[in-house]
Amino acid sequence: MDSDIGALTTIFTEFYYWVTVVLMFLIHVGFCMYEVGVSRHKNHLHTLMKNTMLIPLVTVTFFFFGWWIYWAFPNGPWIYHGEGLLLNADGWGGNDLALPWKPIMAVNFNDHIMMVFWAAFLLFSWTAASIVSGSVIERIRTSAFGILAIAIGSVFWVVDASWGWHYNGWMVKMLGYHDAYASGVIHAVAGGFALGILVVLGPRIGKFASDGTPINIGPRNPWMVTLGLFLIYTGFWGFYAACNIPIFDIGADYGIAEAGTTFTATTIYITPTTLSGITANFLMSLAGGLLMGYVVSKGDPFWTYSSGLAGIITASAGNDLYHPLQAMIIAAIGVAIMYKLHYWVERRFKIDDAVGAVAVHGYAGVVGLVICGFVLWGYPSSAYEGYAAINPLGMIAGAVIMFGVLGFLPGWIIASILNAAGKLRIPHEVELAGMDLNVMQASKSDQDAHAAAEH
Amino acid sequence: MATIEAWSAETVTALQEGTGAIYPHEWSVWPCLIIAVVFWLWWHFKTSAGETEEHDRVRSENPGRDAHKQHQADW
Repeated sequence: MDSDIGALTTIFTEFYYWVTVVLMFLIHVGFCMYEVGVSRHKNHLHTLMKNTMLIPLVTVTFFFFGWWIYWAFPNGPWIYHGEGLLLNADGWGGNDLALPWKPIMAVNFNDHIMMVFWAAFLLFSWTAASIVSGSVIERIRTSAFGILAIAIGSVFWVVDASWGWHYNGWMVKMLGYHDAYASGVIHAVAGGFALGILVVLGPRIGKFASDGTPINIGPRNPWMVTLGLFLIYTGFWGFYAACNIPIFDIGADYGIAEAGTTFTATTIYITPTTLSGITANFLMSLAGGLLMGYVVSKGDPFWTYSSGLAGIITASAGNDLYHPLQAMIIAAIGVAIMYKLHYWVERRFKIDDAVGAVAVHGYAGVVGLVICGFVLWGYPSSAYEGYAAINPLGMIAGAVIMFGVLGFLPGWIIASILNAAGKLRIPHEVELAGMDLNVMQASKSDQDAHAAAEH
Repeated sequence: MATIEAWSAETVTALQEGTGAIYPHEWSVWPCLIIAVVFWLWWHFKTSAGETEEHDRVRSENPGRDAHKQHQADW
């Protein structure tokens, strides 16, 4: 920071990411409220704690190895021109620097960015795990979920980010993969991961009638559910801002210095966008999702609020570039598709997704990626030379990788291993009695003792 | 054809001298506006019709002022 403008840019960027982290905390407050609201009273404390404990588990594992994964694997597994598995980059963010014992991973006089940038990514990691958390409520062991949360939050979403959400990622270079606000890298991968678990975990007792008809269970507190989703919307603002680089001189990096110093906000791919533009697109895609969700669900509060989120998720892949009207229409299309798909999959495959997470995040994310490939066809995925342009085939391949290869498959494998060891699902008797029974018994006992003591 | 085909010096100069629009398919703004307005207006008609249908059903049953108390689930 040896000049005024350099110091200002550095300190502003540090503060910017810090603020996004604070805002993104609201996503997790929202997830806790929403999941507790959906669960039945006899399970709500365990539901809360399951979602809460992913926070420290994902935090420490992301510090141990998750951040290193992001910087180490952009080449893909020997995919990019046969280059090695690990990208041995020098300088800021190189995989060597991201090791937990390195000086830059702590307070450091020479660096003001590393750990706020780490924190922004960490909050995305929490989000990936929280997405999975809701779908598996009321029958998964908390210990099993902890392992699954680490897998999606500190490993698999980070691998997909390394491949497709990194300026040097092989999917960006070779497929023209473009996913500015993480339709695929967070939402589709987490939705796919959740589906993989659900296939093994099985439905809650009583979810399906003897003839296979699905039965709605709950929610215990519809108001808390919708308020939780509203908080998630609020935190999502931080998510969008954190997906950007707030200020960057693209002149030098892009070899366009002859155009003059050109400061702009950029995406993670260092392609230009503006906070102004994404603000409009966020709001219009939210609106498109809410309007369509209200119609398809006939005014159901849970699905209407969920559809607002799904609308944003659908448009997110290209929200750095879409016109607001395009974002609104794309959101509405995504919501109509994901809503129908949710119920079709539920009926056809007997999948019990307690909160519709697979649909809202997984299907909406996939639809968003595919639409992005067509709408942004021909746009550069980067300003660096030799990168593939955005194209439908590349985006479809990207959707398959996100939802299927890095989402569904690992979720299914890990859940299967846990299930084979008898560690995935709570016993039948516990599920019927309620996961909170011990707590409720203790509380009732305290109450009785207190009443006796009062006399 | 994409609005932006390369992030180059020429592109940046052209944007700075022109409208600055970088969104795709500039021709589609008016059709999208029409679709959005139609969707918005259709939404009003659709939801109003749905409300009327639901209200007519309740009116035909005429369950009384305390009917909701018999239908409170306790999950």
